[in-house]
Order: sequence, then structure tokens, then C-alpha cells
Amino acid sequence: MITGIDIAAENTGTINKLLSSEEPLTLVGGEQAEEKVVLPESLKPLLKQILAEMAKGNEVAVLAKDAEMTTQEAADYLKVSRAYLVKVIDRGEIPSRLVGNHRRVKVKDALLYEQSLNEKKRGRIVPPPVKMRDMNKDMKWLAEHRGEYAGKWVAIYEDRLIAACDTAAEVHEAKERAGFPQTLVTYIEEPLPQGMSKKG
Amino acid sequence: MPVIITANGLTETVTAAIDTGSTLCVFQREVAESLGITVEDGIEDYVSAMGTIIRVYGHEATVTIGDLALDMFVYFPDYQRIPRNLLGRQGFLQRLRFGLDDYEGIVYLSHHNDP
Repeated sequence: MITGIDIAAENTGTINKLLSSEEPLTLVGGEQAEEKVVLPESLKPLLKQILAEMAKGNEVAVLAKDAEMTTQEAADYLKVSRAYLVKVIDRGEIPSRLVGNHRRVKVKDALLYEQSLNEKKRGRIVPPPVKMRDMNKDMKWLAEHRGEYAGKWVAIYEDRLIAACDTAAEVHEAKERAGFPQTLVTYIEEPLPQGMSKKG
Repeated sequence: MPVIITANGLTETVTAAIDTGSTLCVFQREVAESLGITVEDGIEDYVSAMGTIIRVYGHEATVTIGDLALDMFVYFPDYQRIPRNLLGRQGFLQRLRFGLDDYEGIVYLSHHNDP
């Protein structure tokens, strides 16, 4: 893994010009510049992309897709904790292999997981898993009784107060005992002094 | 507004506020606990709220509002109490068309692709 390649700003323009040219790109080396190698055309877009990222101040990592990473490296790349990554591996969402007692993850598998994670984070509209009951009466009750139960956890079913408690655990217990379907559980915020608007 | 959150095969009916200023959908830790979610097992992230930075953990859940449901990441705070559940942009508002009639107290939500 190569990160943080430094390149002089004044050279960036020239390199970009060379990379955009239709002329073949030649690598010249040796004391007398006697060694020359024509680089494959397919390398140009990759080099351009690397330069573009560096110009933005981003670190650049060049990784072979079949290369392997430790779980810590994969976790750092995916911006998740190592503990979370290990659970994902245990669930079989990222393939891994054992080297001694340590797991190794292929770069391409981490990239695939990153794609699916980003998809999940974007959200997806699905058929509702449950049919929601009409909650107008519940919301009306809340609006009318907000002041009386400020600072409390309440459980409401239609226009009935099932429980009002200091903790969520207590109100959940009461809700379970009552046994109504889709009982609304909510915390009623303390009101702010008049003229004060809520922030955040 | 009332919403149903489903995870681990369990459902909870709670209230949530739409927050266009919130990047993530953040629910109270108590909601996670009643759904049997171990908060710290999720994907760690940070949000700025109530004048401070809060560490949150993301979990996959389905949020149902009326006839609409979304599979999304819902985040729960590590230990800090938040006064209300917030439906932010990522996973929720970015997928929907949203309108508000404040006078009537009506919120309109539809799929962002609906005609």
C-alpha cells in the first residue's frame, strides 16, 4: 500500500499535459537518460486519477484487488471499528481466510462490502413489514396532554393513556402488560419558557 | 409523527421528528434497547447535536410511516440522552419527497420518483 505520494505543485500541470497528450508516455531513466520504456496507454487514466486526488490534498493508496489486508487495515479503510468488522466477517458478509490465528481480507471483498454498505446507508423503499394503524387519536391525545406529562415516558393507545413512567423500561413493561397492538411509546419533552424557540 | 421501527423481528411504535438539518436518522438509545439491539455493535459515527458531539452507532432497521417503509441505517447514541427521535437526510429524506402544511399540522411524504 502506497500512501501520501508528494509531488511538486509546479510539475502537476506538465504531468497532466503529458498524460492528456495522444503521444505515448515514455519512462526515461539512467545516468545518461539512455534507458527508455514506453508505458502502456492504459496507465494514463490511472495516473491522471492519482494526480487529481493528490491535487485535492487526498492521500492516495494503490492496492491490488487480490492483495490482502489485516482486519485492522480493512476496518481503517471502511471507517468502522475492528470489532464491528470482525462481526461482519463472522456473519459471512466479507469472506476471509486465516493466517495462523489472524484473519486476512481481500481488497476486492472489502471494496464489494463498502459498495453494499453505502447502498444500505442510502436507504431503500420497501413494502411495509407491518400495517400501521391510524394514529390520529394518539397524536391528538399527545398534543392535548403534553404539559401534564412533561419529562415522562408515556404509552398511549388511541385516546387512552396506558402508562406514564420515569423510565422507558418501566413504560415498556406496562405496555407489554396491557397488550394493545402498536402502542405508541414516547418521551414527552419538558416545555421551554415562552418566547424561547428550540434549537437543534 | 408516529413511526414504526422494525429490527431483529421486533417492532416499536414511537414518535419521531423530521429534521432537515440532521445528516443521519438518530433514535433514542431506549428504542434500541426495546428492540434488543446492542448499540455498541453498530457502525460508529459522530453527530453534532445539542451543542455537543455525540457518538452514535448505526444499525439496519426498517422505518414505517403510514404506507411508506424504508430499509435504512438508524443510529443510536452511546450513552447521551436525546429528547426525541430524528429522521434526517441519509437513508430517509434523500429517498422521499417531503411537504409540510404547518397550519393544518399535516406532513406529506411520498417516494421521490412518484409522479
